Amino acid sequence: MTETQNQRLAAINCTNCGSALPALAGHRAKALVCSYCGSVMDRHDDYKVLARYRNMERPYGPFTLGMRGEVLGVPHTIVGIVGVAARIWGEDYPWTNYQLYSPTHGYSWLTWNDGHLTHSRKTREMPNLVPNSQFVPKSTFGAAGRTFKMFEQYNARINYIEGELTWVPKLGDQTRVMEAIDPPYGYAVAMGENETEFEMSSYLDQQATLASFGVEDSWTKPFGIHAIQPFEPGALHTGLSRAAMMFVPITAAISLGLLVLGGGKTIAQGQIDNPAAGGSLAFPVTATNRLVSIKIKTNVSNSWAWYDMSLTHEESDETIAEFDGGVEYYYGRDSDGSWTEGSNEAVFRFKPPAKGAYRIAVEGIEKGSDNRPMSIVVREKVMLVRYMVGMFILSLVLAASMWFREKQFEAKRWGEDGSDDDD
Amino acid sequence: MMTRVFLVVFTMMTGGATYASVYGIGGETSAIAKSIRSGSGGRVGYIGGVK
Amino acid sequence: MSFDDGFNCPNCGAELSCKLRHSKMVACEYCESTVLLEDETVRKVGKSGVMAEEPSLFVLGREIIHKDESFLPVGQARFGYANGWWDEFWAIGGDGQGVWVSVDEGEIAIERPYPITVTFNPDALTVGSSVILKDERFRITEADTATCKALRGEFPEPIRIGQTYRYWHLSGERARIVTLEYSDGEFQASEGVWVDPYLIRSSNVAA
Repeated sequence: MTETQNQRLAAINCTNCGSALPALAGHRAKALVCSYCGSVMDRHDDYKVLARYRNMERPYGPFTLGMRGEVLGVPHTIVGIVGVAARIWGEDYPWTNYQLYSPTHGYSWLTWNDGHLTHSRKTREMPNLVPNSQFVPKSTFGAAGRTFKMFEQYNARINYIEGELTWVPKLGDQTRVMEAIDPPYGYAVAMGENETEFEMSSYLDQQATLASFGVEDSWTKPFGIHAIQPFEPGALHTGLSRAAMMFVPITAAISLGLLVLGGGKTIAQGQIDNPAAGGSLAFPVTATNRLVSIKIKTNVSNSWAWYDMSLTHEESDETIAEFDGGVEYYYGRDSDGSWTEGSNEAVFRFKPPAKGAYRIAVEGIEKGSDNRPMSIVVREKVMLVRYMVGMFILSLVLAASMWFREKQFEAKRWGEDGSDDDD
Repeated sequence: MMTRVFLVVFTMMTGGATYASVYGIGGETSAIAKSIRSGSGGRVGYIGGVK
Repeated sequence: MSFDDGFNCPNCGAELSCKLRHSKMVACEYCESTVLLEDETVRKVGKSGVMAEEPSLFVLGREIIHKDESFLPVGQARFGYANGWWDEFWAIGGDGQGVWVSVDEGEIAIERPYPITVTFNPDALTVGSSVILKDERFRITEADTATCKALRGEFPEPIRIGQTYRYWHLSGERARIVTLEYSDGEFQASEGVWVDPYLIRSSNVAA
């Protein structure tokens, strides 16, 4: 046991080239690959040289041997580096695996892939799959208490090795991998030549992990969407859409209530038989600050009627407004079928400045108007539904935006967003 | 935390919308509002005959 | 004399105590003697050896939790094998029963005694071969020889520093493990599961 302690502090000289190599891993790491001459040594057999790979090119990635940092709340040391590439639909996708060692948690992997960082570890919780079952995208299976969806399968090929590793690797070794996901977790079945291994993986916060390992911030941000990247819309959108979701039913209920009860109370109705000659209707207003609506209706038919009107407060003899307005209604039939345009009703609303009698008067009609009798209905304490409907629509859009965003995110994850390359 | 903040904002907005709906804030028809703003309001006089 | 009330080390006289009723051996923390507890007597049987401090999720007297089950380690035995060493913790489970927890660089298994009646030819048990025990199929994933290096705390059976035995790990479906031990012409077995260290809650994670 003292031997392992010493090894942890010491360096080992490559038995081939003599270079000093950091000794960081525990006793279960089987191989040591020289960073300088590419010799693969057997740690369990006096560092005997088993193979040698010259001129390997170290893959792109932020970590170097000996770096220490926290992953899943556990301190780990980078003890080995393995460059891997997968061939999917004829294209090579490279990533870098870093062998992690923790004296309490053992050996696991930190993977750098397009700027995304994931952690994976061997699991003995095997999936409830029929052996050699076919890979069917999106089909599900249970493992380690979760339900995973099959994501992709590929052949992974080792193209770089360095440092201390738990097995004796061979350059060019291939593993058939079937990956399944339950973001932020993943489950992989790796079928090697002699044995099948099962791995659980977790998506890591890239920035926090890099910072923990003391890596400079200049490394590329994650790009594209990683297989097990969770959908994380951020606090702003989440809070907004959650609040909006609560207000969808509330605003809908109030809108409906206003629609039913907001019509107010009829306080006067009458008819002006010959608008061209003028006419008026008086009405008593009992509430200020509540809307009064004046609805005019003229049965125009393929014609229009436009009136000059005035609104007067009778008691003070003050003219509140002089305005014009009217109706037009056309209909017909064309190749698309029958059509109508306009309406023979028009509504004017105002907020009465004082209680008492008011008068709506038609002072005259515009030249060319259809001079049919006009009926007037005046209602008070009218409530408007439009603001609440606006709130309802806003709430609905905000709540739905999250759903759409997630749909889009998932489509991108599964490569179903129509783009061949989401880089 | 954020959820609570937005809940407050939304409550205020919904409350505002309710108030506006009930009391018809800005509920004047544009024709009347325009007329008042253009200054034709305030003209004294009795117009038209009673029906 | 009742062991529940505590008793004294026959070598140095220090007070010893047992947390587990069926403990058979205790290591004195003062004089490094191991003390055998027999019906009514205590007897010094050996030395406890030197236990070098190593980072561990398991610490004697500190409870750990795995999947809502708690374990209190009360004894620690360190064994050396060809490539290094590992610890066997004798712990009290939530049900009051003793379990063995073996800990080797994050490879953790929790096992209980497993009475077997079959016997094997030790030399026929090679890594990779299949073994069927009580209708359950296992594959031998590890075979080695271990030597006891150091002892601390209390144990359900006498263990001697320097004692050597052969062992085999038999791995089955769904993280099942059976460990076979062969010493002095006799087989002993324990059964249990491999445990994911990342699912263990311990106050000692950052050790």
